[in-house]
Amino acid sequence: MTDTPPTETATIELHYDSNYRKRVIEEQYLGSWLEVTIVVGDTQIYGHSGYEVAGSASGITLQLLESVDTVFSDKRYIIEFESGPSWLVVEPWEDDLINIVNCATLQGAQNPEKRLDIDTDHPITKQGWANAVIETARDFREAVLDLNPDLHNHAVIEDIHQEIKRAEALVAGGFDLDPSSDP
Amino acid sequence: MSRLRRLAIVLVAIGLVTSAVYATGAFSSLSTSRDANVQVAGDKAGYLGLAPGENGEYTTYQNGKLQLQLNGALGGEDAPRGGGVNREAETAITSVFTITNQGAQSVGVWLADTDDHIAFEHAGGGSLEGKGNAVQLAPGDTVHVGLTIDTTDTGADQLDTQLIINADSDVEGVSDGTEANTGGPGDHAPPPEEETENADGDGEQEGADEEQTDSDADEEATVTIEGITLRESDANAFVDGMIYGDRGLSDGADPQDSASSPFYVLGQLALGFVPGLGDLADVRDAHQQVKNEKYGEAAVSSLAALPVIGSYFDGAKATNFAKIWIKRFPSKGGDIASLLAKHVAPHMPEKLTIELIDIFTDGKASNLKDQGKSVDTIIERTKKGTLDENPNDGKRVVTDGGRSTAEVKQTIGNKRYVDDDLTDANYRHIEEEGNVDETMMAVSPSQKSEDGDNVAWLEKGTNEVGWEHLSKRHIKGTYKIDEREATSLFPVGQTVKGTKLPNTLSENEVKRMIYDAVKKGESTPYGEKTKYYFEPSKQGYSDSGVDKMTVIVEPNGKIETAFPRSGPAVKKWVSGLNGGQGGFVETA
Repeated sequence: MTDTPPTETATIELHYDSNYRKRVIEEQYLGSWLEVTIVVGDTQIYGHSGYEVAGSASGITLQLLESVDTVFSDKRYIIEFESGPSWLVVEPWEDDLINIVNCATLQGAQNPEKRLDIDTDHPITKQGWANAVIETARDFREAVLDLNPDLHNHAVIEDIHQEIKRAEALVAGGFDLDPSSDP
Repeated sequence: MSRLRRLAIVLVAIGLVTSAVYATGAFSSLSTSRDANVQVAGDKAGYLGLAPGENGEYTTYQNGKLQLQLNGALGGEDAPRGGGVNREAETAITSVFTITNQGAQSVGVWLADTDDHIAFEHAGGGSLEGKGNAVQLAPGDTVHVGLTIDTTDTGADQLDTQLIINADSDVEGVSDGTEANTGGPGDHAPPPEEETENADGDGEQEGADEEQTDSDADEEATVTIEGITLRESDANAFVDGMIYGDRGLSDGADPQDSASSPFYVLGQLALGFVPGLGDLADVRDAHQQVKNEKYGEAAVSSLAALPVIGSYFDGAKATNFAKIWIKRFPSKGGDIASLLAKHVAPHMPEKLTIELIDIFTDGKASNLKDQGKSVDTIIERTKKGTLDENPNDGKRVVTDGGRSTAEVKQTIGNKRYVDDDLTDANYRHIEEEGNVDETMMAVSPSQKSEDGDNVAWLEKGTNEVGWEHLSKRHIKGTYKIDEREATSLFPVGQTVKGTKLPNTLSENEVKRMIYDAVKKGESTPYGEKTKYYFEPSKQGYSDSGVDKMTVIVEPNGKIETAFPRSGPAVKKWVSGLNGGQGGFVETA
């Protein structure tokens, strides 16, 4: 368990490379792998030290949005990044806090007592994580539609849109977030 | 105070040129090493290996190529900070990088760069610049390369230079002074034959003639360039195409006999679109240096006039070149279209691919597109030369790919892992969306879609998808194992990173497990994809040592990858362990 003081901010970045943009534009395909970096507070959780972590862009985005549910259910949520694989764990911490963990092994993801020394983690406020996830999902949707406006009615884009709205509603009910902006 | 200012130095794009490549249109070294394959790989794995030296903090790898930067932008705690070297001074740094002969024969190695303010020396202190200063490297030998930057007469804020590393088995270099063999810096003479050829300006053409003779004598010789394997004579045309482009056509500045070959066009188009082949842009430089006596102003002028690869090979330039070429050689359109589809199309925007196939086939690709055929189908039919076939000839049930369903079933059905539950529609779907000849598994998945095609199949694939990907990533551990944060490995008794892994499965059993995972596993949507979770040790593979695994299937049914998640026999390489050296962890 970490002794790191909790933070209120996180940054999740999806790095759109040329192959990803090409497939969105030419094939209307959103599921290509791309590199992901996640920073919670000042802790590099994913994509740090020069090592790549990649996942399916649309799949990871949807799973991140689902993790917001966990913030309110107080259950552990595990996102599997297929390049590796490795696992991002969103787990209950204290009252208003959750812990974000990068686990190299599945058993570490499922059981905190089996984690490795290199499994980095950082607690964050529930609101902070939800904000970061929603912002990332909005950015993803906007980025994809900028690349290919024809994807506006794409099933996955619609799913992401609905999940964003659901996450915003959840957060608005639990936190004093500003739900005014409509993605 | 000017001495306090720093001069940023960036040595970019260290080009790696072996004589096997740069002897223009000739592959002259292959005439003495007929079985050699020319592979221009990343610098670590190339014909010559480039690696950081004792002062390697000034180097970095960018896109597989070693780069040198003396601008304070690199390195760890010991890296130079504050931006560059002193002004009005000479700065010498020994052993910045190393060059290792990873080939099978001795070569003379020398360097050339485009900036007089930077000089390269070997560990013995002698110059490495120019063929006359070549050092001899036997297979496995390494030379340490240092450099001296002289800023006493430049007011520039930054020096950018391109370094070309030459290696030629026909050049007899000398010792770098650090080995037991005799001969020191300066104790050598340039090989007269080479210099004579260069001096009269037609050396490379003579080389080409010799090569043609050699090629005729051994028709089986092949050359592989960035995964494209060609007969040697075809490879010569391929490289000529890369070098000369439209200048090599009959009315161009440098007419080439090989310009009529479809492989000439392939080389020109491939250079712009096949990843990694851009490294061979150095071929152009090397050629120009040879042709223009290498060191003169003319060479510099010619180099400066060369097009920049990234901008030269845009779609408009590619189609323009294709139009010019096909006008001269209209009977060869089908051949070049097929080559294009096989070798370049996977790396080229689909729209441009269709445009080029149209140019070479008088619009047949667009005709098929108008009939509703997918781009993949058009490319497959172009490869096979079946663009003209009418899929609705009424004589037989024919798939859109030009094969009868029976033919497709026979081709796929001969493979070991093919589901008896597959329907004719499933086979037609694979023919439409995939590569029948490279399909090694086809299965009706547990996850049935209402309007989908309900088939998942595994192809040989590439580094990024299919069997080749999962084999290199999760069996052999040879692809991106150090770049990626972690890599789990199926236990087939392989040795990875010097560690022998458990031998509880064969590769065929891994394939069978993938088949069963899709057939029997628990599925869940993952964006457009579908993930199949399978528990081998509980579902028929009790001795496998694999407790959990995942298979990921793309929306069209093609299996993207598969990997073990946990199990007593599943080891996982974690790159960040042991202070960044990496190490294995148990997963159960």
